[in-house]
Amino acid sequence: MTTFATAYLIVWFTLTAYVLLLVARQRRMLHLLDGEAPKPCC
Amino acid sequence: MATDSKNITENSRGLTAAGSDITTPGPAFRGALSVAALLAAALPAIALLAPTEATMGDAQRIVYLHVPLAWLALLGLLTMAGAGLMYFARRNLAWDQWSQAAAELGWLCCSLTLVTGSLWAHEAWGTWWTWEPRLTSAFILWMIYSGYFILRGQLDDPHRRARLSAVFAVVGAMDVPLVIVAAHWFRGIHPPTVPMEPAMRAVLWCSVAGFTSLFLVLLSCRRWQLQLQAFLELREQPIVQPDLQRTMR
Repeated sequence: MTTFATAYLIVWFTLTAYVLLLVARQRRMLHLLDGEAPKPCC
Repeated sequence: MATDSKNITENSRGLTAAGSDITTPGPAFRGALSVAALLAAALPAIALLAPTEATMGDAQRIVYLHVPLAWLALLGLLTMAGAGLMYFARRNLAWDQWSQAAAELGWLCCSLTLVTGSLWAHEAWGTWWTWEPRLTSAFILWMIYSGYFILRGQLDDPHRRARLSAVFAVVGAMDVPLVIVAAHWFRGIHPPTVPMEPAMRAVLWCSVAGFTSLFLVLLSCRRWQLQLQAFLELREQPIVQPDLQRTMR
C-alpha cells in the first residue's frame, strides 16, 4: 500500500500544483485587463 | 474601450480566434472542471475497491494511475501534431495556442508516467529504471516534450515560433507509434498488455475516462488563458495604422 500511496500523492500534489498555478496566472491576467476581459473560465 | 478591443482583434494577424472577439467561457466551464476534478480525485478510492492482484499486491494499483497518464502523454503529442498541421493549413495562431497548451499538459503527464512507472518497476523488477525498449521510447517522448519548450523559448516572432514548433511536433509525433509497439516488437521486460479480471478492467476504464476528462478541461482552460495572454500583449503594443502613416509622410 505504501508504494501506491506514494504514487497517488505524487500525482495529485503535482496536478493540484498545476491547477493552482493556472488559477494564480489567470487572476493576474484578469487584474491586468481591468474588467474589460472575458469572464474567467475556471 | 470596446472599439480598441475590436481594433486589436482586427490587427492581430490571427492571434485571436478567426478575427472574432475572444470567447467567454462561462459557469458551465467551471462546472465541468469541478466535475472532472472530483471524478479524478475519487478514482484512487475506486481503485481501492478493485480486487488485489495476487503477485504484486497493492502495488499493482499503480496501474490505475500509470496507464491513464501514459495514454494522456501520447494524446498530448498527437494533439500538438494535429494543431501543428492545422496551423499550416490556416496560419492562425489560435492553433499554436492549442499546441502549447497540449504540450504543457503532455509534459506533465509524461513526467508523472515516468515517476509512477519507476515506482511500479521497483516493486515488480527490483530496479527503479532499466533501458528496455518501452521505457527508452517513453523517455524519448519526455525529451521531445522538453525540446519543444526549449525551442519555443529561443524564438520571439509568434509566427516563426508557431511554424517551427509545428514542424517539431509533427516530427516528434512519430515517437508515438514507437512507444505503442515497443513492447510488442522488441523483447523487453515491460508487459505489452496485462491480463485483468473484469472488475479490474472496469476500474481501469473509469480511471482512463476520469483522467481524460480532466485533461480536456485543463487543456481548454489553458488555451483560453494563452488567448487572453496574446490579447494582453497586443493591447500593450501601439496600434499602427499604415494608411494614416502614409498620409502623414
